Amino acid sequence: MYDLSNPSPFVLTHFECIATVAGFCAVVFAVAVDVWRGRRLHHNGHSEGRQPR
Amino acid sequence: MRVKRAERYFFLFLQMYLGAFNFASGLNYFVRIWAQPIPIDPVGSAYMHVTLQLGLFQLAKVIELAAGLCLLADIYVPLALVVLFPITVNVLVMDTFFATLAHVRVSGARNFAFHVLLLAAYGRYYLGMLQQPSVPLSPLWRRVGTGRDGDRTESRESALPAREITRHV
Repeated sequence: MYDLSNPSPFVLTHFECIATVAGFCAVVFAVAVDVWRGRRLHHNGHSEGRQPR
Repeated sequence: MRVKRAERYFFLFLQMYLGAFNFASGLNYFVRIWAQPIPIDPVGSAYMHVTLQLGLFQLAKVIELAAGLCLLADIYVPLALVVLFPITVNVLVMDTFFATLAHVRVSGARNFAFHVLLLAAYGRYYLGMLQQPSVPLSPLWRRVGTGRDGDRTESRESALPAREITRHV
């Protein structure tokens, strides 16, 4: 059982930090994947263009 | 295209934020990395005490843990959002109306706003529930294509979930 006489109001800050880091990491990863896919598509498109018809 | 991409990143951030917050909050209850936040207000403290005695607080932490994990892993997200919503509402009430610290008030309100935005983003999953029931009861234990007594009186469509039917329409 919790000790209700021991409030710790700043614990929420830890959760907020974890959540913010997780959110930013996910977005950075998603952007990186999109950029990588975009470059790959671009590269494949160029190489296809060089192929003799 | 760019707007759609930015929208996707924005909602990804919200989903991961809410998922990580709830997962950390649920995990912290069982692992006790940090002390559990307790409302300073006597009414809020009494409410928390009662929910602890009833076991509802523990249930809420299990739901936070499971739903947070679903949001982080990007699985069953619409279901996780619905299951988690009552807890977010409780946190909103406790934090916004029974907390004295500004950052705690903001935290509850922000999580609620994020949750509502995510529910709106996944809104099409819930639209089927708002339709008038045009199909008869189709319980999971009834085989597709069989009637109440096992005869093949029902059409296959009537045994499909609402989402499938809307797709067909």
